[in-house]
Amino acid sequence: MNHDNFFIRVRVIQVVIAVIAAVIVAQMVRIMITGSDLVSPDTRFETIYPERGKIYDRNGNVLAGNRVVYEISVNLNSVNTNQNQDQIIQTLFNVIGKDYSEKILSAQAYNAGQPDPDKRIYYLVLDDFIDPEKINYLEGYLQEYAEKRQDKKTARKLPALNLNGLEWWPHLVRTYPESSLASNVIGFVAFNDRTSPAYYGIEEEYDDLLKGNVQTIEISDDPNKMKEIPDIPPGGSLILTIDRQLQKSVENILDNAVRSTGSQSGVIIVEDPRTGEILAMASNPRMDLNNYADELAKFPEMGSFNRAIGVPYEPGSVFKVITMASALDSGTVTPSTTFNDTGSITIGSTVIRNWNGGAWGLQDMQGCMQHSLNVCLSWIAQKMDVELFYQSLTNFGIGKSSNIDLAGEIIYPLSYPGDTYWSLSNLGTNSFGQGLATTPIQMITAVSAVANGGKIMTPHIVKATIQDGVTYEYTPQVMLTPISEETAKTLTEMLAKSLELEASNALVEDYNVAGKTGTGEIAIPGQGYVTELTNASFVGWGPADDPQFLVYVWLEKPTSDRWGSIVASPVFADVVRQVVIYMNIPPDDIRMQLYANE
Amino acid sequence: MKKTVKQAYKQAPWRIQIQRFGFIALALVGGTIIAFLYLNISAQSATAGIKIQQLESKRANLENENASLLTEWARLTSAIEMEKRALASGYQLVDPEDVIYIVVEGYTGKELPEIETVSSVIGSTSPIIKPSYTQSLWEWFYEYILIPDSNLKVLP
Repeated sequence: MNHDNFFIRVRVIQVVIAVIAAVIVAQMVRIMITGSDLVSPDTRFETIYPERGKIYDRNGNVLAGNRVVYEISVNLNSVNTNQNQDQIIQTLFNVIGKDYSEKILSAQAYNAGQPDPDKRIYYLVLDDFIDPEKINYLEGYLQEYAEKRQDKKTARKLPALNLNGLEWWPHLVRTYPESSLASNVIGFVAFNDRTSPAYYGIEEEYDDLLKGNVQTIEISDDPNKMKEIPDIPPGGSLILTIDRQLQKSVENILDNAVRSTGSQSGVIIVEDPRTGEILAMASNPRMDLNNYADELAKFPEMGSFNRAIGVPYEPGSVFKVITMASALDSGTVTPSTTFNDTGSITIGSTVIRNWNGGAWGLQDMQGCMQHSLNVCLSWIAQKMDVELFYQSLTNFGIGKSSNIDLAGEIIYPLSYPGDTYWSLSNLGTNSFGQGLATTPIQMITAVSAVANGGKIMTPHIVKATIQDGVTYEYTPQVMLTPISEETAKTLTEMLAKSLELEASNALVEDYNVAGKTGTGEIAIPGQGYVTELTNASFVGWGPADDPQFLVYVWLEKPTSDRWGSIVASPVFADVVRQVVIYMNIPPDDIRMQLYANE
Repeated sequence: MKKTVKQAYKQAPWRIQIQRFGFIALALVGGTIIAFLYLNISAQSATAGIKIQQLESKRANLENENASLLTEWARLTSAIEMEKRALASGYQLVDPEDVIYIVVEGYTGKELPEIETVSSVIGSTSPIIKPSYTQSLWEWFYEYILIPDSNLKVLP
């Protein structure tokens, strides 16, 4: 009997153990087969924004970078009215200085009235773009509180601090360490909206490259799913052709010039005509890019963010460089061709007179340029004939995009014979830069042919891009070849001599430069051209025998004096004095000596 | 005629019981060992995953900090700040007439700056944890035993 009982007990134990084992195995198999649903991992979709690429000047100085800010949020599942809600609100008020009670309460009220759990708010963003200093203060505050709670002397006086559900997450936002320097070139990113596109300049033009590959990924708290988190590379970075120091000097010169001449605004561009690299591009006014929301009001007109590429204007006599280059290259005139200036010429229905209304008598082409004679240049255009003249302008790229790699370039189309708004009068006025409109970048691009042996290099502002650690350097490209090398050399010599003969304000000690002034009259709707309102310009390059820099100056509506030769020429000279230092160009006599020694 | 004699015997019942108990105990011990190994590997996998999460977070924070420090450094060395410091240190802007030019043999002018970039591994979407840490026994059985060729598709 006892024997039988023993076996019965053993059998019962066997069965019990077998059942338990079977249940365990069944559960394991179920977990394995049905996967992660049973362990209910907290999966969510999250958009990963890679670090936006940086922008450097040509010497590696950071012009646009990124900095850390924090997003503060609460997980409403962990926030309880009776427990920690007030503590969270009070702590944030003490640290951040803002009252978030209304936000939390309204979200909770919404959840209370929302029957569909999928539509309830669980993750509530309270604030964003909080400075790291405040978060450091918050963390220090919490640590200090915890230490006091551990201290028996102070613990009794302090209630337990329950901030469950309060979270803060770091992320990067765009920042501009140079503030307003080259702001017109760089553009900006609306940092308070991470989905917003970039605006203006380099930021807009290269937005796709800079922002990198934004990816939305599924993130799981299940550690086994770590494989699904991709490693997202940062956006590409850019090295600009801009020289920070030169840019700053040029901006200072421009700001002083605008102030001293009472101009409405101004532009200075410095280019290396051999490569098309823009070394400096200053536009007045500018803005602090870190404070774009408040400063955008400075730019009410379309294109005025960067007037160098966005505001077309009638350039006036600087355009005579294009007309004379075309005439010389086509053989219409030679430097020794003479013209008897009687003080006026009629082309179409328009009587054209010189800037001073005078008759300058017998002049060669040198004299026509030196005295900036409208009558002479109109005669030259007439002599070239309509078709050849406009074909030449097309060859220089007038009325077309300069192809500069900046967002927001405005193009004012050139009227050609046969167009609605074209008449024969245009032939005369166009020859000296009236009746047409170009932007400073289009003008300097066209004139660069004369400064670069007849070739126009594509103007560009990005010297290299950096992607995935590899630097890709931009290769300078010839865009147009409107004139021959011989023509370019001849005209450069003529214009250098012109400046010398008239003892121009544009002359720079120890450096032989070539250039041309311009005073464009401004047409007011209903009044026509108003003599008092002008655009004063100067375009010049040097050293004349081996041009390495090309400078364009535009002062809009100067009030101290209306003439480009008075207000714009000295600005050119000031710029050149800085350019030769930053570009290591010695005075002509030393340079010649160096060449001779080589 | 030769007769073959077969001896008939039966195990004692208690021996049979002990044998059965032994088999079940053996199966349980085997099952326990398998379960222990499986749980052990799962725990290691989870620990590794959590550590990776922590390291990922730490790396992201360090990258953010690097970006911030680089920008802060750029602000401290910005053109305006450097000019202020230079003037405060007694330097002055150079006058073109004071510039002395000398020939430096072999100097070809400024070259493109070498800018260090901390680049992430491109296309590193491959599994961080080996599949053996994440696969269930069923997946392993299916991929390696039932359809061995599928290994080629699974392995990174």
